[in-house]
Amino acid sequence: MLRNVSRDIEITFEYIKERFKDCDDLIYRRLEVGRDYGIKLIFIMIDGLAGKTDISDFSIENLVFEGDLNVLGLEHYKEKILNYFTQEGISNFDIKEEKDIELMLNSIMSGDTVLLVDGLDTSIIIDSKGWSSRSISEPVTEAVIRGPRDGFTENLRTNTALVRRRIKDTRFKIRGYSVGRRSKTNVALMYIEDIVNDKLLDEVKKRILEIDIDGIVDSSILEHLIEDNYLSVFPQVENTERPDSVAASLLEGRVALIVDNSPFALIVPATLGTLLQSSEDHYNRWIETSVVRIIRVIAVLTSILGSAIYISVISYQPGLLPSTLLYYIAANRVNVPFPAVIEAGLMEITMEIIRQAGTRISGPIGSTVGIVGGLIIGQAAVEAGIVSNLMIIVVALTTICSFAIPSYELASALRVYKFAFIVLAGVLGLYGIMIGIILLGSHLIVLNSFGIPFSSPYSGLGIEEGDLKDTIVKAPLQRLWMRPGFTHPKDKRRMGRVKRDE
Amino acid sequence: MRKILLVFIILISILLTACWDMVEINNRIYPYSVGFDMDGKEEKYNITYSYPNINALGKNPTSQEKAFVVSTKADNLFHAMHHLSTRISYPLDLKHLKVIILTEEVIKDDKLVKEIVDGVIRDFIANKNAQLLVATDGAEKLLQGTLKAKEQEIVGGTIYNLLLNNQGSSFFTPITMGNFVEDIDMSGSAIIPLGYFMDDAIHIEGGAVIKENKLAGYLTPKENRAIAYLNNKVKSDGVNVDYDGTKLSLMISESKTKKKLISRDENIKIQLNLQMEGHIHSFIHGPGGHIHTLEDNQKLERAAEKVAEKELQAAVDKVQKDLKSDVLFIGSYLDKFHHKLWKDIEKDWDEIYPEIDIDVKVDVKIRRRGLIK
Amino acid sequence: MSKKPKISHLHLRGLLVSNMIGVGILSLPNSLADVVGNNGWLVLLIAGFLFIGLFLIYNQIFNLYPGKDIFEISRETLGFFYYPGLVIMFLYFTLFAAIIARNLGELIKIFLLQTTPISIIILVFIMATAYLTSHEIDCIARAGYFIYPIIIIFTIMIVLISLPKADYTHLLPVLKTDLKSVVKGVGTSSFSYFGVEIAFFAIPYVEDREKIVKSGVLGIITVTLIYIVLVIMTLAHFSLEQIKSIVYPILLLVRQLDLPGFFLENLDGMILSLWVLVVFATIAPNYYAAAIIMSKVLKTKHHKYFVLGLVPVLLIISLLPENFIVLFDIVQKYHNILAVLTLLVIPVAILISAYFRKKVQK
Repeated sequence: MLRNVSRDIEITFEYIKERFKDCDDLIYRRLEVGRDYGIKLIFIMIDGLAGKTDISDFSIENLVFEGDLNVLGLEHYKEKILNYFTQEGISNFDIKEEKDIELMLNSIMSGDTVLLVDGLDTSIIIDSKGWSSRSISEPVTEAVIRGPRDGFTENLRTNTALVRRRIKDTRFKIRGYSVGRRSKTNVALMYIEDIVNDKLLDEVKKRILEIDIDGIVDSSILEHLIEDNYLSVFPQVENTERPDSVAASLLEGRVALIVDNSPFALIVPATLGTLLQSSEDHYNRWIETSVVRIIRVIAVLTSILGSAIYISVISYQPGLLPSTLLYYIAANRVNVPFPAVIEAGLMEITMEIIRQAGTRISGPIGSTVGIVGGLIIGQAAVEAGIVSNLMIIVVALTTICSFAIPSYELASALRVYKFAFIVLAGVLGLYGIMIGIILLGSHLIVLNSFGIPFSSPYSGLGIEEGDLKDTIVKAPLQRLWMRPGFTHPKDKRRMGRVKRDE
Repeated sequence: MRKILLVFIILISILLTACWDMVEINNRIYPYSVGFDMDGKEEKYNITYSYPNINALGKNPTSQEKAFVVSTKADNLFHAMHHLSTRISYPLDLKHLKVIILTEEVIKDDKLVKEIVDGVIRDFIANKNAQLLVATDGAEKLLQGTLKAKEQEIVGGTIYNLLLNNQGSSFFTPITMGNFVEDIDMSGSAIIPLGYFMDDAIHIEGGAVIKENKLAGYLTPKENRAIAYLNNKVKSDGVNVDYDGTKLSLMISESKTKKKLISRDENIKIQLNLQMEGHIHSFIHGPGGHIHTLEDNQKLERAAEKVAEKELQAAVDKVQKDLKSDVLFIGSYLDKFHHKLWKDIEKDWDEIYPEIDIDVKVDVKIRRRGLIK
Repeated sequence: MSKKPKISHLHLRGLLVSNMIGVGILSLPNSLADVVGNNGWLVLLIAGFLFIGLFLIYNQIFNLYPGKDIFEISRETLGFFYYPGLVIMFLYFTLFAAIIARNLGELIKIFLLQTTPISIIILVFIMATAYLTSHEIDCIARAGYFIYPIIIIFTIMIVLISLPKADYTHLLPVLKTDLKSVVKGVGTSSFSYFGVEIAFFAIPYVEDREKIVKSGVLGIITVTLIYIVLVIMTLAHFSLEQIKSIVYPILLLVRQLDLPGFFLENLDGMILSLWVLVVFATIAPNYYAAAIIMSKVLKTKHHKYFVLGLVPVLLIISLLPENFIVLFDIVQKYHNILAVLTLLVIPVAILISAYFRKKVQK
């Protein structure tokens, strides 16, 4: 067990080779420089992670053809050599020394190149991260019409850079953490020092440090490890592919986390209000946004309650319908053999299967699946008389509505509730729906996200600070001069009032 | 976690044994009218339901008959539903009941009306907005008539649509169950429209005055209209006036009656001020028929007033003197606006009412004369 | 988490409003018409002012002992009567919750689910409520705050759909009732204001103390206004005789109206569904209060287990009355006595004792 880098290069190298036994992606290059005394050098890197040309061009080439080494006097060369390498020999940008062998190994695995020099008790780490990665492209899950088109990639540094480009402020902090015993995933914690609430920040830091897991493969794993209530179906952490969303939430006093190898940044705290907002809401004009948001709320309600209300009206309270509509629906259902619950359950499950099939297969086949599933099965089912055509309308509507919810996680969560509501409505009709609403409402009320009520900004806190200005109805931007109060920002004011001649 | 699971299992098992009330929409029958005839033998009534045949509706109707009419003998509405369960395939649901038809014999007995009304009002499901109608020659005949009637309306029922379509005339005043109870409570009397089947058509006109839950007498269509005017229940109506030998037809678009207590001595005197506004519907075209000046206009107005006053006064006299029914809500007016007086006479109101003076004053305003002078 | 729950003064208002408006609202015009005829609005106004006074008494208690909750205060002031007081309060809240549950069950059964056993209707409801109740007062208050706008919408909806056919002459004659029946009417209408006692549990946790009075008083005024508006609306639609005979005038009112355009007929189903939420907001705080008192009596850390334990208790109590008439009897006999004790006697005793002690200390 070797703790520190040994002065004897062979010992260190043997140890490294031992640790990387059966790791064929480790490559190294031995060199001997200096005409008179031949200092042994070894470059070690992981193939594919490190940019080989960088090392070849700026380090190896320099060292091999550098005349100075030869001139270096024999005396005290060992003292001077480190200085030489760091100052002149290597012309890469980022160089540091590392004595601790474990940290050195970590660097190798992060894509850096390690240079071992015989006679030195330290290794030189040359930053050469240069694996191939996806270039910045438009976010797939959160397309907008108006707004920037760059999205996060799998590269942590690219991602932090994308955010930094939007907030050029030294008080915007990016703290690095390494999470996962084996995966040693880099996690960047981003916040704006003088806006974010300290309690919130400490809570996030605490939860990250508490994590003890072998590996974080994706940001969703981290999300599940830091959320408040792991039994809840609701996401208590927001995720986004859009750097502009991240920047906007940072400015609201929230905290963002970027996990290496994941194009999804996490934003905490997430509340019902934030999950129902799309980044485009902030770019459109206020009246348009307000209309869209009202429609979105209708969509949310329809996606949860649509089928359930249909069932309860059909099977329990037909009295609610106007007579004309009642006779029409009854006439349409004359030959349907199932009760409405079974009918709805059947169609909803079919719809879910079609949706799953469609998501798994991308491209033209996916849309074919949708068409075959949606159109043909639906049409055939009505023709065969198994379901009524109204049911098809309702199911199609609830499905479409669930796509209108900006947060995919929230939409999935609500889908679970949709089925619960179908069962409740099937058993107790309208009363069952109300019971379901009580349970769902209670859950939303009870739920917290990092100490902040999940139901914010509707929770009744921060109303006096004008939190309701940016909820279902969005006030014009020039009226939103305060930050949302539910995050308890240190600096509440975000805008100076503009006085303009009317 | 285990606790939650336990609760969940209990809940699910309760729920799965449930669905007590589930009856599909197509497995119910929604009668839109029900008729009460007297039976008089073992059971009290002969109750007739009419309901739409849902098989005849929709895109691909599989059946021709638009509606069914079934009758049974029973003691009350709900009893009848149980009787019918032996004959028709689905349970009846009275939530969409639109019209309740009472035959003449039924309203002649003061208990029966009460009984029927109470049954419907007390029931949790039955529609309280159902319209009331009196059938002069049998409820069943009227309902059977809807099947034969030329003008057929599938949804909602012919009678209901006739009742609602009272725009053009005020020869009858539709009244719902709720309104009926309210009127009875307030004044002790109410007017229910009359209906009969004749010449392949259903006619609804006139009214039956109910006093103390039994029939007091009938109103002709014109009398009904007069009462409707005085109760502010006319939306729009026409008035025909003989003026200089020609017929003047006025279209009344607005009318309002205000009650006023003139004298409160021994002889209580009430004035009913009716204000009418309208335009000329038809007069006579050509020379002599022009309306040029304000005076012309006023002359026309006066003439109309005279005609209207006469008609109204006759109707008022009839309900007051002959029928002795306070369908004009004079008692409730006194209660509200002259409470002290009312307290004194409340007990003897039934005797006092036929004796008081009711004066009708009409004020006609012709606002528009149409497109020609 | 042992953090002290925090609520804002708006939550307090929501909690008060939603807790006070409950089962009584549907039958209120009826019970008032029985006693004071068409002057229901007057007694409601008087009762509203009385309850504002009561609320101020409650607030004064907590002003004398800032930062302490009701249990600490009453332990200090009531001395020997601490446990009997708690038991009375416990009985009051339990009975109240059970009565509410039964009322709800009856209404749901007759209007929505005719053949479903009433025990199931009540059980499902109590269990759904238990989920929220097993959390702290801040969650309960938040629930109240959410129901608050629903109540307002509920009222506005009823008013809007009934406006076109209203006949305000029904309200006449004004003020033609004798004093005796007005006093009696105030007593009757007080039942509709029960629920203000939830302030015991909420006031100590309100963050902005200086706004408590304003918010609480506004809450009670809101309740009074809602009641008055509803009573006036029903009066404008039915004759007095009719209201006296109808058990749920507001439901019937909704039932007799159609929305213009006939999109929805028979709106009573919808109103009743909304009303389930309103009842939920009434039962939850009472249920919570019962559970937390129990947990204080038995000195346990968390009231969660008592919430679960109370489920069968509430169910059984609520199923005990044979029928509606017995239910009303129980309310009049036992519940009103308990209510007077809880709402008036105990708080006043605490206040007097507190003043006395403060003086002795000086």
